[in-house]
Amino acid sequence: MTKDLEHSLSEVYDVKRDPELKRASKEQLSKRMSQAKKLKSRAKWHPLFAVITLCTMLFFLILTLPTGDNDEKAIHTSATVSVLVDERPWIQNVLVAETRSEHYFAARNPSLYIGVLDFDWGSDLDWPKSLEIAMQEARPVSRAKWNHEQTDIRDIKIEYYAKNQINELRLKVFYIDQTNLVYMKGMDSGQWYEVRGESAENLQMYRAIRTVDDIVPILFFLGMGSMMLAYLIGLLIRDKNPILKRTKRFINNRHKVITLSVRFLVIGIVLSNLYLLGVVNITVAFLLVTIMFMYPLYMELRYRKEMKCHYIVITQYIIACLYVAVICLLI
Amino acid sequence: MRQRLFEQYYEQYSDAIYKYIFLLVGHKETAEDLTQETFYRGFKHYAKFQEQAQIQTWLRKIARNIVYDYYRRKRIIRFIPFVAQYEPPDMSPIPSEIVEKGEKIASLYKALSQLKLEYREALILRKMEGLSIKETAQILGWSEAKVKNNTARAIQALKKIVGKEVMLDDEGFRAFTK
Repeated sequence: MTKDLEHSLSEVYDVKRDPELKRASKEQLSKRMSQAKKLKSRAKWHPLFAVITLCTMLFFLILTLPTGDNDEKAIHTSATVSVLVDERPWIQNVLVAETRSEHYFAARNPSLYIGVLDFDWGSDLDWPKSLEIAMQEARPVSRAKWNHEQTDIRDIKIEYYAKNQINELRLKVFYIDQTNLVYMKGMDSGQWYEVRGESAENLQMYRAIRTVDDIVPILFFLGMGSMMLAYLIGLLIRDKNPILKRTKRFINNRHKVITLSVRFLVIGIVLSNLYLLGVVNITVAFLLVTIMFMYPLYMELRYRKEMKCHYIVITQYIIACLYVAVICLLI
Repeated sequence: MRQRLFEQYYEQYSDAIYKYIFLLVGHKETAEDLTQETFYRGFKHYAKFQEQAQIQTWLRKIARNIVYDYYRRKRIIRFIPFVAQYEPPDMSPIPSEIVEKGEKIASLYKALSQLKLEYREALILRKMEGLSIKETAQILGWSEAKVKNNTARAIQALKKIVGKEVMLDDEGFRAFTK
């Protein structure tokens, strides 16, 4: 490029600005600035987030409260196995859960916990019978000897009808590998019992119930399906908002690290809960999902709302909640 | 406090921003309005300015977005049949400020306005304002290589247009093509 052209370009650039227009424009700008209310773009989101979180927590808190139905039943928790045996009761309902914990009792309300089997034996009376026989023949022992590697643990909650009221008994049953020995622990009294021989053998039918083994494939395949659904809806949203195609997935490295860490942490908490305790509380599951998406949503709205990435995050959050809801319905 | 700061910024930087916008939109009243809007948006969103760049660079970025919005709106208006009917055809007359500078400069301005927006931006920032490649890349959100390429291509395109003008007029622009 010749110097002449460069010089001419700089002459083009040297445009004189109308001083009258400039002054008027500055006055108008000052007026607009003084009229503008205090910027609340940042603070605006804080109460909103607080309200959403509070509402979500209250919702789940209400969900976990005991229902009136239970009060009417007037469940009475008995202390020992002997009560059940002596009173010749009528077993109404049995809840079973697979667990690895000696102290945590997993067979809880199946509508609030993922991983509890509300056991229905139908017309097959072997199931309650085997429990009754085992409890009749159970011999109290001071302390059972077992180790985790060679033991399967099942938590069994029995609701039975006796003395004109519904009572419940919470048992932890320890199946020792390659033996005909079963230990039982009354969770309310802390008393250990030992069952041997044929009745221990009959009790093995409860060992065959593997709730965790059933849940993990459902969690995995349904999770894959949900991720696929989120991806497809994400494609649709990207198609409608081309700006998303040009936008980086993460705002900065910190955003990336925290988002991914929280995700792995949540997955870790759920899986370890399932593996060690055998159950996952539905409220906790929903709260974890909420926590998982709160930070990305906050970052998107705070730093690049105009890029519309929060549409994707909100979609993912809704699908994750639906995923948990479907799991609750299925299991 | 912030208002006073922006009034100061307006005094310091509004001329440069005005020129930049003016050369992109080619209309002094519109350029003035868009300059004002640039400073107003800067004032409104000052909390988002994280001092990763100079304030002038940040304001230029805002100005660029405003110009793009302006063109986008113009494009949308053309799709509305009623408005399109009464919208005057976009003849882009040469502003009087440029005409005053003589025929040679007016023709160069005309050639410049025929370039596509990306090339025009590269030329304005690099060759007219004399910004560095890095600063230009920061404002336009391009890579430094893209800035270099677009500037070179813009100059070639400008020379080509100016050359045609020479063929037509045969006066004033011979020097550019040598």
